[in-house]
Amino acid sequence: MRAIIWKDLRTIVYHPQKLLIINAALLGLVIWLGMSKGDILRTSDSTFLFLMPSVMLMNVYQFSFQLIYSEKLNKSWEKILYLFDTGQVFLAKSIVITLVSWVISIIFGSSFLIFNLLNGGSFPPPFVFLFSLFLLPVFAFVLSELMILIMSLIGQLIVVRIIFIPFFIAALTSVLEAGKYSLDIQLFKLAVYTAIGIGISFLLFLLTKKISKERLVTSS
Amino acid sequence: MIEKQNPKNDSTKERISLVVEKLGKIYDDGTVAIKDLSFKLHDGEILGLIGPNGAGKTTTLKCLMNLVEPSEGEIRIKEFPAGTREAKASIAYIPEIPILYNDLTVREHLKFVTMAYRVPEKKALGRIDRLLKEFDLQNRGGETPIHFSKGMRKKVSIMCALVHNAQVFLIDEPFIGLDPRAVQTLKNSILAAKEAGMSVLFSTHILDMAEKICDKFLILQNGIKIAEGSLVELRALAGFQNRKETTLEDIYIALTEPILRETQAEEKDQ
Repeated sequence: MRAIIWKDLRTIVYHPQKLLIINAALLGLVIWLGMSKGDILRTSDSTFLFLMPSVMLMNVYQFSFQLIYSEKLNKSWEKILYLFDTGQVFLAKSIVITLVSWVISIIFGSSFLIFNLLNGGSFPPPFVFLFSLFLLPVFAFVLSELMILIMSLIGQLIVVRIIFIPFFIAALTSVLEAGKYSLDIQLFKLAVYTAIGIGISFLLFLLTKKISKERLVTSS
Repeated sequence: MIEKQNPKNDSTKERISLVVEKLGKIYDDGTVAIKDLSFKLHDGEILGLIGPNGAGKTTTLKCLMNLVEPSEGEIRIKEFPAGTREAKASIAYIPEIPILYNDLTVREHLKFVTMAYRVPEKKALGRIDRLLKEFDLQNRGGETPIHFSKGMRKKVSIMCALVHNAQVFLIDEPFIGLDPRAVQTLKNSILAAKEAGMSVLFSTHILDMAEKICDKFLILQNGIKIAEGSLVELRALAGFQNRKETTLEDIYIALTEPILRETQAEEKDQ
């Protein structure tokens, strides 16, 4: 599994163009928010809370597509599936997607936080950080598992891409509306959500183990 | 490049690398790819899987690699059922069309395979350097194969199979698309593998090359085994026992012609 993680990280790092485009667009959105809607930025709890998931979701979306597209383009399912089990392949890819997306969202979150503090904003409460550190990666992991599962089973990747676009636009626009929401997350709820997320990701992992290699090889 | 296997205590007993028993594969659309196929491959033996397009050669190889689920039958590689970790660790596969990542360099391809097979890093680096030298790619190890010719891509694919210590090599049409020097290198690698006690199973259309290097042949047609044996045994089966000059091609045509005619007649009737 270490080998797939190593290879997939390279696939992402060697093709930084899309990564840069998506994240530059997100950065543009944040700057625009800062310039035109200063009041939303100052209510930093909720903006922070919506910004990080949005950044993460956009990156999960892009990387899931990139990694599955790479396997399909190179017709390489055969190569990795004779070396590894289906479950291992899906797990490794989900780890890579979550890890990279998480790192990028933390960079964004931290930059936003520093910018906001320098502009007289308040420091978000600790549970917001807990949310970013624990719950968010779990959600990203579940989403990456789901996306690579769907993308690998459906022959036409473009169809999957189009289906998912509205969800991600909704996630992005939620940042714009962040000021309207009030935060009601307690530590207990956070722990419960995290546990549910871990449970779902484990079930999805069991499901991916059941997918036949023949089906994946013939769908590419 | 080929490292010798550790001899077992019982050296007199004939050891078997691969056992295929009553293998059958029917695809979802009802196509019968293989029917009741049984054969054995011993250590240090080279078996040529011969047959026309659609005979079931590639499906057989894919079943051995556990990429295609057999509808019936049993496969054991080095005494382990196909698909188990032990069985996977014993085999190396060279596909007909090289499967390479356009994002990875030649060196990275080899490193990926050594990581997958858990070859210690120091040992892996030594093997990678030796292979790059043997296949004349020492100056191109840092390049991605995106602009490589078909032959060069095939070379990388072969190197990926040789870089870990496999005991059974499964090769699909190994000589297609290779330049004469690469054919020579691959031929030498296959013979070296045999010398080291490893087994090779390859499917091919190039019968004169198969005749030169194979110990045994298995002729498949329409997913059914037509014949199996050494060249001498196949000569006898085809009725050429007194004609030692008969080539594998003559034997192949003699054995498959009646079935081909039968199939054509059936198709005509339908």
